[in-house]
Amino acid sequence: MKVRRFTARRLVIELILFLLVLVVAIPFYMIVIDSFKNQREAAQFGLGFPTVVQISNYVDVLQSGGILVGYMNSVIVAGFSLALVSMCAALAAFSIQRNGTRLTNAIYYIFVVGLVIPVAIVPTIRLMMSLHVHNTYVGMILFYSAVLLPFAVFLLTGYLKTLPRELDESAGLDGCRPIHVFWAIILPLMQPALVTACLLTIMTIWNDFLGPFYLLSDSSKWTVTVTVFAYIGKFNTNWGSVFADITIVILPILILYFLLQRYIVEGMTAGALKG
Amino acid sequence: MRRSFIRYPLVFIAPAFVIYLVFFIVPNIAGMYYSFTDLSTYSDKVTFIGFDNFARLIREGFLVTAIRNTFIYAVCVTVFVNILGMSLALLLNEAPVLGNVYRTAFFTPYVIAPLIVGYLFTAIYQPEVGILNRALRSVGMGALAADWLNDPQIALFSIIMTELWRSSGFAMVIYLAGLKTIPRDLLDQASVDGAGYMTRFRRITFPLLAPSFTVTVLLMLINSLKVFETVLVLTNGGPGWVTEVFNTFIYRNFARGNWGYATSASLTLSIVIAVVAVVFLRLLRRREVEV
Amino acid sequence: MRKRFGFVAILAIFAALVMTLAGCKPGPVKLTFTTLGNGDPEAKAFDEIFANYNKQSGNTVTQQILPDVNEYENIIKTRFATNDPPDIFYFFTGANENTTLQADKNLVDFSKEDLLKNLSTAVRGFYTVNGKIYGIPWGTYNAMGVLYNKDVFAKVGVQPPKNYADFLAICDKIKKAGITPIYEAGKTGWPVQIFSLAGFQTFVLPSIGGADGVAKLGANQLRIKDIPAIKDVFEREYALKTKGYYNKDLAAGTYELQQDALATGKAAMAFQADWMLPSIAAKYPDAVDKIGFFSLPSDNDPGLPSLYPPKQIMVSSKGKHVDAALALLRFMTTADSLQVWYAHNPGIPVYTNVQTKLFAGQQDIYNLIKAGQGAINIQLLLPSNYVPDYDKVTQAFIMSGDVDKTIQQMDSSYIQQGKDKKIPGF
Repeated sequence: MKVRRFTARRLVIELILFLLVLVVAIPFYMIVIDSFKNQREAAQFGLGFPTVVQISNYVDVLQSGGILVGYMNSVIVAGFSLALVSMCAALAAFSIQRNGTRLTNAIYYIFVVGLVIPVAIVPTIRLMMSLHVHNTYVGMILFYSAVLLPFAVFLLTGYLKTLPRELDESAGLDGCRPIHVFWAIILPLMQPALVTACLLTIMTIWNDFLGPFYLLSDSSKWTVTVTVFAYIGKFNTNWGSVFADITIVILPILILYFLLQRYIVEGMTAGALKG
Repeated sequence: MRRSFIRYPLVFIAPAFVIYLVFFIVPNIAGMYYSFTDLSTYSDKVTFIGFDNFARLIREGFLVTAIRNTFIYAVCVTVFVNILGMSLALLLNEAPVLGNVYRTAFFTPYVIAPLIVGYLFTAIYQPEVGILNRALRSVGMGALAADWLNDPQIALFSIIMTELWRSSGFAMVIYLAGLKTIPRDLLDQASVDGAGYMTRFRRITFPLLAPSFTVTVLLMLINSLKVFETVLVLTNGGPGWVTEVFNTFIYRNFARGNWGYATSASLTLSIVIAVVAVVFLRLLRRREVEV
Repeated sequence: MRKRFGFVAILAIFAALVMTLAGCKPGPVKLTFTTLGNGDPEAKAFDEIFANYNKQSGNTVTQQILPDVNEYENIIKTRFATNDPPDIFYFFTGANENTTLQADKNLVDFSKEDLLKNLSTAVRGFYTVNGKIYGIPWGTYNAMGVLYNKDVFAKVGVQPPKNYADFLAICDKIKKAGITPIYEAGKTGWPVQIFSLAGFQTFVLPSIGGADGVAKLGANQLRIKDIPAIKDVFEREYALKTKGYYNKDLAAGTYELQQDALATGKAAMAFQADWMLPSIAAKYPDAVDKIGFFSLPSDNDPGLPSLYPPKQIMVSSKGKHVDAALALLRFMTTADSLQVWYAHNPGIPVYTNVQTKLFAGQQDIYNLIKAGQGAINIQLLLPSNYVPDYDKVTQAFIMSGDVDKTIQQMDSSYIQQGKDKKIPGF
């Protein structure tokens, strides 16, 4: 009796979960399947296979050009930002966590403020103009570094708590300078958390819209998400090519997620729960 | 006991702090100044105008609309994302056959740009052929089919549903991590003592999930107060102004060239978020301690 | 240790990769023509003209297409505000746009250039503001009024109206025949503006003394809430709804559905402009010439079409390539180049030396213009914007029908933006 009830319950759970997965999966399926349809068929948002499979939507999207430039811009901005963010944050977290004084705690909380407060757009534009980095890659990289540093510092400081102080001291006894302790011992040990920080940096920059939308008026520097906005602004009646555009844009992020989801999910939850 | 063999130079903090200070803190402080000026794209002269911008925010009435909509959105999203996320986590905690597949799938919407989720739901909500209305009609609930984004009564609700689709998986993974910390024997013991599922949930699981609850509530509240892309794409604040939120209002004024005014709205949003964050952190932390 | 080197090596390789990518920026200087995404024909015409120019001059002109309307204006404005102006760009027309772009400071004045010899005096007059011309007219005239399906009119047995009472009688007759008299695109929003904008010429303008009243409105000596005729126009508009002359799915009506309804005869009329005709022609090539145009009639006469002169091409006086931009404009305004444009974008031309094909509805408008009829849309005549968010205001109005609140909103936002733009008198 008990066993039977048990299996029935299992069955119900499996069924519910399966139906819920459909709720998540069907929209993605719709994007992909409709991206191979012609304009009229795609506008019906059907879930059936296209009557004629055509890749012309993808050809159109690639030929319109914006997306390749967007890809390149996103890679440049994300690449430099992640190098800057991970190095600076690791160094800062090391000093903040290991010192643990009133001053460093205060600095830590100043960083935490950045997790909560939104960006001040207009003053940022004015600041970048006065520094002559408005509408430049350098400006965007510095902007993203400033926005993403708080989370990276937060995450890495939390992770450092799990690395016992004795590790540094064993090296310190050998007379190593602090930078060597950091470089030779701490940095390699922080690798899992660093990978998480890097992945989140890449994903945030790839997906961000608000920053470049406000800060970049030069369309040749638009990152990939802004190019989606621009593309749809121009061709909003052709859902086939809109879906093709979306597919090309979300593909790298999905691949990254499916391959490295352990780092992404665990990093996010660990970072969140330690707060 | 602290040995002083090793120094941890404060200068290590400098690079991160300088970047953060110059490109985040300074603009936020400068924003406080610009909020009291008539900075605009129509003139190079910037005049200090005291509280005029704030008086105007109240006088024009848009602030009230924006605050109301933003709060309705934030509260609904926070409540339902938590309910859905916790339910999903509890279901997955029953170790279903395809547990990992389910977990991966539910989290997927969260890694997509909100802008793109907005476009996706523009298609899904399409009144005649969108898959939502077609699904409702096909299961005999055609009466529920609606013009999701153009009916002023439900447009905000449709935006909220979009966010539930996107964020529930995020809440789920946090609750799953919380569930892992609950000792199995505690639940088994309660089971042996004759406690039913609901009793166990109320007495053991839910209280021990308190840290996850705090984090999810706080993150969802803060993030949903900052909502922008989905509203911009789905309704752009319409029909009329019934779905206007803080960030669409700020954008509208930025686009119109009223940069000082937009900044004063943006400062108001920052203050609102800061207050909400502090109040909730206190409330929730107190609850955690009590439990 | 080995682990660390792996990680560092990956970082280094990545950094190197990024550097090389960053290194391949476009090298040689070229002229960028910035324009807004407004459909294929425009992009194709520009491409063809620029290709011809590049071949002839050896320069490289490329087209940069940005998102449509609201975002476009914002981007261009922001680029000027952040000292990064586009060299040469296609922009909206009207006195208020000069305020928006701070034309005196930012733009090249063409009034002394020889580029404008093929313009009629009336057109030239419109583009002259305070003796200066900051834009080269580019494109076609549009006119707002009523588009109607001639087949439906014939079937019901009615003619275009001679006055407003006549217009209402037509609506009534069509409704009784079981056809939707007017299709309004409540969801899209902007089409809803057209009734009150066209109504401005017909009902408001005569009541405020024409150009005199407009000047007073522009200097804030006359207030929107003190003009009873504006209120009257909104009351007329809402009466059309209460009488059931609009489509039932008013709130869900889109611009696309409006085209379908008008072309297929499901609806008899739409408050629209002739810019809809090319879209109809693309979908319903057989039906487009059954669509005619008439002005929104007044109580006493058939009324005037509300004219929209074309957009304009502007050159930043602070750009890096002012001379190159002027040379390009000289090429673009040759008869050959204009012909390329109008071949791709047929419509009512502003230049006198071109041939172009007109749809039946456009011919109706052209006939009116040639007969000296027509008044420029009020939105283009004021130094400020005739009511910001007018699309949203009218969209909200058609749902609620609250005339007083609408007028109140228009009045206060009109004055507020006058202040924002620091226009004298506000």
